[in-house]
Amino acid sequence: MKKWISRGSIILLGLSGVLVILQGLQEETSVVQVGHIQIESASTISPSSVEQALAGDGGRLARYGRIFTLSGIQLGSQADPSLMGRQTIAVSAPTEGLLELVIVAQNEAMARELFRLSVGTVQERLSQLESNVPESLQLRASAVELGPVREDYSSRNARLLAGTLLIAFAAAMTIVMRSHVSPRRDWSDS
Amino acid sequence: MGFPFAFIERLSDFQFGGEPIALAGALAAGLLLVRLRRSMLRIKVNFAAAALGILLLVASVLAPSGHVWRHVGAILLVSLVGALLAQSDLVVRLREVVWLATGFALISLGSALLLPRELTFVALGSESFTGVGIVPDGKLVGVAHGLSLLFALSVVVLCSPYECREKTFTWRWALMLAPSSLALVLSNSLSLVVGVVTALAIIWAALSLRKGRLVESMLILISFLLVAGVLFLTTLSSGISGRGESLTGRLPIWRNVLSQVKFGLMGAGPGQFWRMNGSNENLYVGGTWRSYSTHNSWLNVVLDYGLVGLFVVVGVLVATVLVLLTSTVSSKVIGGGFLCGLIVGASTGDVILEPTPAFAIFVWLILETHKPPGSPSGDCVPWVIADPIEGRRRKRSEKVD
Repeated sequence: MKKWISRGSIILLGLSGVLVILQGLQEETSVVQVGHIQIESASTISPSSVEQALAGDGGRLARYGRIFTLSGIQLGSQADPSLMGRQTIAVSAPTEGLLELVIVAQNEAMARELFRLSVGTVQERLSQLESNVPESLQLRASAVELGPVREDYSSRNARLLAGTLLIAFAAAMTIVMRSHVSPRRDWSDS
Repeated sequence: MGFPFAFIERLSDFQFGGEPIALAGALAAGLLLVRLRRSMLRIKVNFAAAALGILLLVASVLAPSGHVWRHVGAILLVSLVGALLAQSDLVVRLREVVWLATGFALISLGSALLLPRELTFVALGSESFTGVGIVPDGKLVGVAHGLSLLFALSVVVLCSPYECREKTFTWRWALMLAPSSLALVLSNSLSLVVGVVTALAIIWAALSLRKGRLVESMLILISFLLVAGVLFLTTLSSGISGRGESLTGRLPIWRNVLSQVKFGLMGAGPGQFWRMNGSNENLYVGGTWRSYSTHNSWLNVVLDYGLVGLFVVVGVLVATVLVLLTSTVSSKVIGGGFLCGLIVGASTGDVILEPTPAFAIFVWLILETHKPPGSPSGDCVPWVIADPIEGRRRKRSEKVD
């Protein structure tokens, strides 16, 4: 009885793996685009020392970059509700004032719209962070470029990975069950 | 043979450059040949494998930096170290691990405390994930990952039923456990600490299961999963010293790889994914590093070896873990438990099919599955028994008796 239960579980595991892989292969893909946003201030400081750099634009950019990188940027509520939901944007540390955003959208037009909205969100976040800084010294965000369109494979890849793991588990358990029969002995060898 | 953990770490430095890989490769291959019994070398397959290993090492040295052969050679070198480790009984090796880890931990902690920073290879720093240390918020800076692995394995061995099954508490046990545990925590490797806890939970659950205590075994595993889940969610939501939210910059890289790379049956080749296309640099957007890696072994395997590679790797690992954990030899169960810990650690680092000390341990433990069960005294029957020639001789002599 036990043997049949274990065999059945292995077969079920393998079949579900195959099913998940087939689902993954039929998955519809969306698009991914990498966008760049330039952040600059009215008065650019060229630092002559590390201390000066940390106090100046470079230091502020590095700190804000870390904040953006850790928390990501969610599109604000003013965005089109139909665009909400899937877009979390990763931002790199902008030592040269350049932010990199990964935008996931259903198509290229939507990606462009998201990029435009993202620039506004970044500008809004900067304004909040720099509320105490005089306006002439405040950092500003402006769009630079949106990279080439690439397909988004996240869902497809996740299913392929999960399916492969399930089948590998089933195969390994089959091999072990066939080749390795451990005799009942005491737990002792020390 | 000693246990060369402390030096294995340096192998990764030779991954893509210089002649040291030639010297190390020749030494490892030579040592392996010396260690193998003559009778084993008489078998054509073994001889061919050894010869092929040396040839691959030579090819890897002649290959340019970043080339596929260079990577294959470095992996083979680490595999040879794993094979060397498997040449003796697991029990003996584990005892060596405990003694060596105690020694290295004492040296590390002592030098960190007593010597000036510039005179020692370890030092007390800051930003520990636990905040526990000799000094507040301290850690051992510069401890190689190989040493951390040594401490981790030692803690697993000392806290498993193999060592303290019939003992309650001994000073020697405590004195050996304390330095390794402290050094492990201070080495600031969160995934290794999680791996150690995983390994211990699995080993103790396996022991309970073997004794027929199904409920106890389930309780151990469920409590472990609950605690691990709560800690993981806490780490992600609040962040410990900046590690949370993005797992020290790993999550954005994983997210980018999953969404922008089309996984296929075959990968780019050993160590080649990041080098085959300059635009792959975009996958680092939002991450902390740009270092030819995703910092996740499973993704690395898929990118370099494809889904077929992942299938083979996972199949071999699952089979190895099952064989070891269901073994009647307790040292093998400890090996199986530690392998589970390494599998957890592989999710945040370059471990599998990479020239790292952890992969040497993988190879070592995989080879342990092919050894015959141990005698009641615990020492495994010498590996030579697996040799058909010796086996036949032994059978003949038994018949005569």
